[in-house]
Amino acid sequence: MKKSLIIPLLYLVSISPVLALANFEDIYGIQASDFYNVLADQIVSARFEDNSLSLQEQFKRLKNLQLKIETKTDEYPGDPLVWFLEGLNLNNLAEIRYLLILSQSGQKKATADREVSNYNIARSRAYSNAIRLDSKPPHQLSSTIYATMSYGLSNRQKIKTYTRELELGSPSENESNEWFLHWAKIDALVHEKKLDEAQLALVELKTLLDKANKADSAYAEIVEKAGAQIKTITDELQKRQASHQNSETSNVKPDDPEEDWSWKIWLIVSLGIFTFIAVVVIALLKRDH
Amino acid sequence: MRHLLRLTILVVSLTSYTANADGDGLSVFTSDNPESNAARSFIVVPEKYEIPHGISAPASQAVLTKQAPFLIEILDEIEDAELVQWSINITRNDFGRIWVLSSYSGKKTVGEVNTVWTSFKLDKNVVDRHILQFHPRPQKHQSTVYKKGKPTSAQGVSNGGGTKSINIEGRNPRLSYEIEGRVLDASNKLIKLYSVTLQMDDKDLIRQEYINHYRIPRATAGEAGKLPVPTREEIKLIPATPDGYDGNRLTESEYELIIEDGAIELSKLILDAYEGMKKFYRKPGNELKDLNGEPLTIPDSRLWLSSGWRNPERNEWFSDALNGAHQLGAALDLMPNEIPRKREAAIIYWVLWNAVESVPDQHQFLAQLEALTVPIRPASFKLDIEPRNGIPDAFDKADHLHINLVK
Repeated sequence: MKKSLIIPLLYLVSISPVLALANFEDIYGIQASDFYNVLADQIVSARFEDNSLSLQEQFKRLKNLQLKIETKTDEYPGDPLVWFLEGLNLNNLAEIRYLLILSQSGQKKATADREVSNYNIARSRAYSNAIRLDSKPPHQLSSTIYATMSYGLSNRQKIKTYTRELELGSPSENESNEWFLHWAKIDALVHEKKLDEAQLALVELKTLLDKANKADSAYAEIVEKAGAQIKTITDELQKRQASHQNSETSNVKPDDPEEDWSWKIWLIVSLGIFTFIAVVVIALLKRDH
Repeated sequence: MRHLLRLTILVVSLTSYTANADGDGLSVFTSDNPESNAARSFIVVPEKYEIPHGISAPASQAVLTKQAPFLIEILDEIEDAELVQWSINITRNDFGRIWVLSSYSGKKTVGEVNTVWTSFKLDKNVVDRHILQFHPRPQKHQSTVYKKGKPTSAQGVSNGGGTKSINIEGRNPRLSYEIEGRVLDASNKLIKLYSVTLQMDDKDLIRQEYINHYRIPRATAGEAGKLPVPTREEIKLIPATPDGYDGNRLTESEYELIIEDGAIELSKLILDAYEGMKKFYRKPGNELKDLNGEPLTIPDSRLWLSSGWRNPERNEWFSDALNGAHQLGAALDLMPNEIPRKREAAIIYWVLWNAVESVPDQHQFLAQLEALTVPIRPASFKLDIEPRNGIPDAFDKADHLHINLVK
């Protein structure tokens, strides 16, 4: 089957359950506050294609939603959920702007491309605010929200989202995703060189597999791979540290010829100058007498 | 000395009647299905339902209806002067209510966990005293609606997870009835004791899960439960993980049993296409190029089989798809054996997707990329936003490829 046929077919089979679920609580697993739950549903619905609107019309609608959500972030600056909604809408804006670029070229394309980047930066900032505000109790955000935010964030922020997602229970449809997410977290920690934390995360993974009676299951492979990753980077760091120490030690070797010569030259020059001054002083004294 | 005397009295009292081994001296009927009956197992079908029977094809008994009542009969002759007393120990209060159909009645004692029903002592005037007849009352889905049960927020889940929420093993509670028939002499002394335990075996436990999910409404919009109930023959031992795949066997179910209705064939079809596609892209000139036109390096990654058949209770724990194909033994979830949410995994999803598209006779299966339990939106195949890495967002965000046979 050609690609041109399979995408609409996928759309037909996939859109019905999606539209059936298109409200905030059903998708993200928590209720939005009464003060903005209608807006939350509108932002979520906008994520799902509405063929009756052109891209320009969709963009306009999202801009309106952006004004509304910005009013809410002004009103409730300490509410992580409002910041998440703002990030989600900014992402929607970036998406529609990107789709609009596809038909453009030259200078127009470059300008639009910058706009997409700006939306992405603003989205990441909004998500970072949401993560920061939700880091203290009472926690509000669901694991689905953390999973949604984890894309396009810095590695450090990803570690926070993975950790929280795992604490809350992965929203995915099968167990494998959850076990693999532990691996993603360990990998992110390794890349940040947070090896002690990575080691702790590995121990936690092993403990959880043990508790679930899955220590000898296929998931043991993940433990092995993640463990190997930690070991590789630990060995590498130790090697680097050792060679650094070696080079430091070698810099102060007593038989270093360069060190020796500089000292000797300094001594010879000093003695020379001293002798010269002494000779001059003696000569002057003799002349006076 | 006093202890010895007590012990002697105890031994004498214990051996003063005939205790039959489990089921000895009794005729026991538990199920319309001969195999279930032989195992003294059963299913409980609500009176109002006619449930389609048979997953790969309608069974010879194409519809399941209310089952015949349990019938336990003492085969030995009972003297006129003797009395009979039946008791039924219903091992779980929350599931095991009964409906006695015999002509005689009795009384019920409700304990903390179990309930014991005991008949009155029956003399020769009770014509059916050698037979005990009763129906198990239907089990009910533990909440009135179907909703994914696994909590993913501090708010938790209300009405979710079906009976899983009360059973850590991820399957239905095993329903059982311990039955005793006592024959007493005129002075109420026990002469003979007959006993038998009627208990769902694993195959009927699985069938009961399908029955309990039939016609259950969803918490969100969509069709109510409508899956057929598998026949016992359709429930088999779990085969090994298909060749060429990493990961799980064809089920992660707690039962050591499976329904397999084409999943193995499907796994072979997809694996061949995937390996072929990897080879294709590695040939010079055929490179897979990113959205900026840069050739991509294809990781040498194997596919991980993450999910195959799910029993309905497990399905309800993980998914909102009440009538999802995973319960029919003809669906697979696949993912790359790579660190998730990273570039290598995204490339493998791209290759896998293109491989699936290349399979001839597409009408025989349905494939969709999914993330966080919902299908990837069609626009995501064109987008490169989150992250901007030259790979369509659909592949960056996918957490598995779902594929099922269309029947």
